[in-house]
Parts: sequence; structure tokens; C-alpha cells
Amino acid sequence: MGRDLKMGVRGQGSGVRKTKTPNPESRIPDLSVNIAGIQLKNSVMTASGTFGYGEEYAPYMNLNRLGAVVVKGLSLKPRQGNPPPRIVETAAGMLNSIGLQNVGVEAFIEKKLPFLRKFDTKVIVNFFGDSIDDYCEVAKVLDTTDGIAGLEMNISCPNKQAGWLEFGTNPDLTFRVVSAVRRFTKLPLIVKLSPNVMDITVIAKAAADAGADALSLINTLSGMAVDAYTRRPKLGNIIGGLSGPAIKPVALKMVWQAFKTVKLPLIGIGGIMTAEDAIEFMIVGASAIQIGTANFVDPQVSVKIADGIEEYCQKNKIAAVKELVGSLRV
Amino acid sequence: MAKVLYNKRVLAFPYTEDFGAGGYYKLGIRWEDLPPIEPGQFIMLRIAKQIDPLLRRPFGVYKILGHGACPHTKNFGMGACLPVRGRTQTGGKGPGIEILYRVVGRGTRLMTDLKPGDSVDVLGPLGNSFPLEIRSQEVIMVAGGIGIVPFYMLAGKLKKARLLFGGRSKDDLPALEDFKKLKIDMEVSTDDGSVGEKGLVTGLLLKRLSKNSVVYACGSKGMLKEVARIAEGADIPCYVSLDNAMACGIGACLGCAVKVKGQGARGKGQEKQTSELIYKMVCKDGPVFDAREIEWEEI
Ligand SMILES: Cc1cc2nc3c(=O)[nH]c(=O)nc-3n(C[C@H](O)[C@H](O)[C@H](O)COP(=O)(O)O)c2cc1C
Repeated sequence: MGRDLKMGVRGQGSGVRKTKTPNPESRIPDLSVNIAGIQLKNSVMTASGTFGYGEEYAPYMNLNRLGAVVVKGLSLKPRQGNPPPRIVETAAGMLNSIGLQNVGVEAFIEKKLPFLRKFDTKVIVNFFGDSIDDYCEVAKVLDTTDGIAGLEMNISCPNKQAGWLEFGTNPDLTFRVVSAVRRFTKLPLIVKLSPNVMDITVIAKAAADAGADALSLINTLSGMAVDAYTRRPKLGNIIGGLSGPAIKPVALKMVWQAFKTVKLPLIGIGGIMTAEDAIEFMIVGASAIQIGTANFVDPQVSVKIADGIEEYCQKNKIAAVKELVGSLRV
Repeated sequence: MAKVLYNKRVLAFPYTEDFGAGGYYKLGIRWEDLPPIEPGQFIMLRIAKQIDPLLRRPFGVYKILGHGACPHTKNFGMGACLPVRGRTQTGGKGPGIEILYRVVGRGTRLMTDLKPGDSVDVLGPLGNSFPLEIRSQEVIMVAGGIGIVPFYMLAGKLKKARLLFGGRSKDDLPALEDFKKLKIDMEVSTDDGSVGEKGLVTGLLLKRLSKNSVVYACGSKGMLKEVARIAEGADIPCYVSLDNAMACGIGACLGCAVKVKGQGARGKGQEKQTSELIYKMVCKDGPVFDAREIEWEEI
């Protein structure tokens, strides 16, 4: 113990603040992390779309144990979502085509946020739009709302003004939408990257140049499933997004690539089921992690992962979880 | 962690291309601190800590195990509840629940390997239940194959009920014996005529329907659609229990959506409100729905 806490930590760059040095005598590892100025009690968050607005899971687990809750993606107006079937299980994963169904930003603030604010956890609001204007409008509304620790911008959304091309698959569009939103919010701005791109580093750079405070990755991988007998697609929308353990290797690689390219804090997402999975993401460069599909399998998995990270640090004599970040031995 | 009490095949359903190698099983699960469970509710079951198959599977609760908790002990006396070789089916090991399941895919095939003593993870009870306030009316329960599941508990809660039970063949009528022991009127139909009347269960419904009927139905989407159409035509209340693929079971993932008719669409001359969500979730808003609420064309 008592080794240099900055080892392996990217203390430089935007918003990664130094926290108080823990007592070297103490055997309790420092699990806190700071992402773009958001101080989290631990590195565990729940991923957007897999945890509702928090209230759905409150009867089954202790929300106070989470670093942050990232809520279901919000749009300016309520969204109906895609026709069913919307989910299908695949090998070690699942495809979903929910279609971003949500209650809309106003109903969220009025009906969902007050409940979440009762808990000792940070609320990060995921949002999206069909156009740059839509993104900006949502950001504007959220910026003046109390009780929100940060914004997560989902850029895996088709742009109706650019032939429904996804913002996050094009560096130009990414830069334009992120810099536009940046002007409307002082809140920490996390940009959530799509993995359905030729080169994640190009998009990561575009988001960083446009003023993102942090990046989260990855969103779901585009995919489909077919019934051999009926010859029908298994999803109503034909195409959906793949998540779960099946995508972890892809996600790890992309976090690692982004880590080597940009100086922003990163949030690792993709197939995390256990504390070991979470730690692997930190080793390749994630300062924090999000748990998605695993919540469906075990509503208490996020708390178990938080406990598991602490146990790992204790066993391996790691004084602060930050030491792990980007500590890949190559 | 709940523990498996027993897991036994009750019917061997022959292999078909669309359903695969079938078969109906009963799985007894010991569940300490068994919460109250209403007819129609379901659980999400995880059978081991594997990642493939990954997701939990929803199963309707077929029976409550253990004395007192079983509705039939009240209505029909202890003996009618679960006598198996002179003992209760739990072997005195209740409380717990019994799941009646059909092997339809990888998840349920793996379930057939469960042995007494194995640990399983039960989340629930979840969802709503059949409305019971319409007791004075003449209740008709319509079940197709595995759609029989919610009706054992429901029959126990109703003073008087008639069951219409349909399947493809005699091997597609699971737990028929259980219902024979209950004091309810029962009629059976099969597609091939191997038992009961030859034809569809909706044919039986047309014969039995009266102005005072209320219909509760569970079965394939095709069957439910037809039952709903018949009930609507006769202008009688009809409640259906829907079964959709689901991931979370608690209203978070929005995966088990079913399209409903908006209030605007039902009200006279009203414009359909765009802010009103037109999808409901089978796990949270259901699994039991008023049949008039469902957009059957999109089922
Ligand atoms: C059912 C479902 C709904 C999702 N909805 C959203 C969403 O609204 N916004 C978003 O940015 N990501 C959404 N995601 C993506 C997840 O937040 C996460 O990036 C992805 O599932 C990968 O993580 P996992 O493998 O741990 O699930 C959704 C994922 C699933 C499975």
C-alpha cells in the first residue's frame, strides 16, 4: 500500500480531479471516481435503456449503492417506439429494437426525476434527437433542471436532415451535433459512441474536439435474427442492436483504442456481467463502467459488481480503483 | 435461492418443425417466505449462472404448493388439492410453487435437466392478475395447450366456472387430470379429434356463450384473437392473458410491447392524442388485458 496513487491514472485532461489521498494505513480501497467533474462514490453505473427510470428496480435493489443511474434515453416529445417483437435472445446476448420509446423530457422531469432524487446516487440523463435542433432543445431544458449530475448524449440516432444517417457514424455530423449541444449546457457532457463505425478513434476525436467532457462506449452493435422455418425476421423492425456478453470483446477493443487516442475520461460499456468484466474495462482505460443487459438477468448485479470491485482491490492491494485505469500491460 | 422439489414430464408432445421436440413438464420449486400470488401472475426464472442462454424466462404460476396457501384447500377440501401417493405433492416440503412448462427452445430444454435439490433463481410474482369482481356472471375459461396455466389457480378462486380446453391432440392437453378432479364443467376439443370434440376450442366457445358470460382466455395469439372477436361480437367482457418475449419482467426494458387502442381511438369523435403511448408492456401492464384494449390486427 501507499504507492503512488497517480500511477496509471490519467490525471491530466479535462475534468479529472484529484481526490483526497486515502489513509495509506487503511485497508479500505478508495472506490470513488471523478468523471468530468461528476464525483461518483464508485465506478458503477447502470446503462441507459436497461434500468428504466430507476423506479422499476428500486423494489429489487439498493439504488444508494450505485455511483450513478443513467436513465432511459429521452427525447423532446414522447416516443412510441418500434412495433413488436422488440427483443430476441441470441448466443450469449440479445437483440433489441425498442426504438427509443420514452416518456419525453417534460414527463421525465415532472414524474420520474423526483423519485430518483430521493436516493444518494448521481442522476445522469441520456438523451437524443432526430435533428441537431432537437438535441439542443432537450439539452436546454435539462440544463436548467435541478438534480441532474450530467448529460449523456446518445449519438446513435438517425438524423432526419441527413437521409437518416446516424450522427455517430460520421465524424462531421458528430462534431456538429456535439458542438451545438455544448453551447446549450454547462452540465458535464458525456458523448455515447456507436460501435457501428469504421474507426472509433475518428469519432472519439470529433466528439472531443467538439467539447465533450467524457465519452461512454459502446452502444449496441447493429444486428439481426431470422427464423429459418418461417423465413421471417425475428424483430418487428428487422434490424436491432446486440448487447450482452457477446459484445464484450468488441467493446474492450474500442475502449482501448479510444483511450490511446483521446485524453477524455472514458466510461466502458458492453457485456459486463461480473466485477472481473468491469475491471477489464478499467484496465483498458475506462474510468467508470455501465451495466446494461446484466440488469435483466440479475436485478442486483450492479451492487454485486460494486462489491466485487472493492474485493478485487483489497485482495490485490490496490489502494484506489483509479490505479487500474489504463494499466494494461503491453 | 429457491430449490427444485421435482421436475417431471407429464406429456410427451411429438416433434414439429415450428415447435421442435415438445413435451410438457411440471417443475416444483420450494420457495421460503412465499409471497401472496394471484391467478394470472408470473415469475421470471433463471436456472443457473450461465451466460448462454442469458435471459430469464417468464412462466405463469400454475399451482401454489403447501397447505393453506392453495385456493383449492378452501373450496374443495385438502384432499382435492395435491394428493400424490397419500402425501402432499411437496412431500411436506412446501411452501412453494409449481410451474407447468412446455419445451419450446434451448432454455426450456435445459430446464428439463433440473434435479431435486438444484438451485434456481425466482423473481416475482410479477404482473397483474385476472379481475375477479365479476363473480356473479357465468365464467368461461378458454385455454389452448400451455395456455391452461393460469386457470388452475383461477378456478380455485371462482365459485362456478366452466373450462373449455383445446389442443392439437390428446398430447397437447397438459394437466387435464388436475382439472378433472376439480368440480368445474369442462369440455375438451382437439384439432385431430383424438380426444373430446374435433375442432377448435373457439367452436366450443360459440356453443357455450350467453349474454351473461364473461370470458377469460389464455393460449396462442391466433386463438386469443378469435376469442376476442367472438366476445366482442357477443358484447361480453373478455380478459386475455398474453405471452410475449421479455427481458426484464419489471417494466424497464420496454421489450414486451403490445399495441393498444388509444383512448382517443375509442372515444367518440375525439382526436387521437399523440402524447399517449400506444404500447403497453405485457410484464407490467399485463399479462392480463381487457380484450377490447388490444389492437388485434397487429398481434
Ligand atoms: C433494451 C435496451 C434498451 C436500450 N436503450 C438505450 C437508450 O435508450 N439509449 C442509449 O444510449 N442506449 C440504450 N441501450 C444501450 C445500452 O445502454 C448499452 O450501451 C448496451 O446495451 C451495451 O451494454 P450491455 O452489453 O451491458 O447491455 C439499450 C440497450 C438495451 C439492451
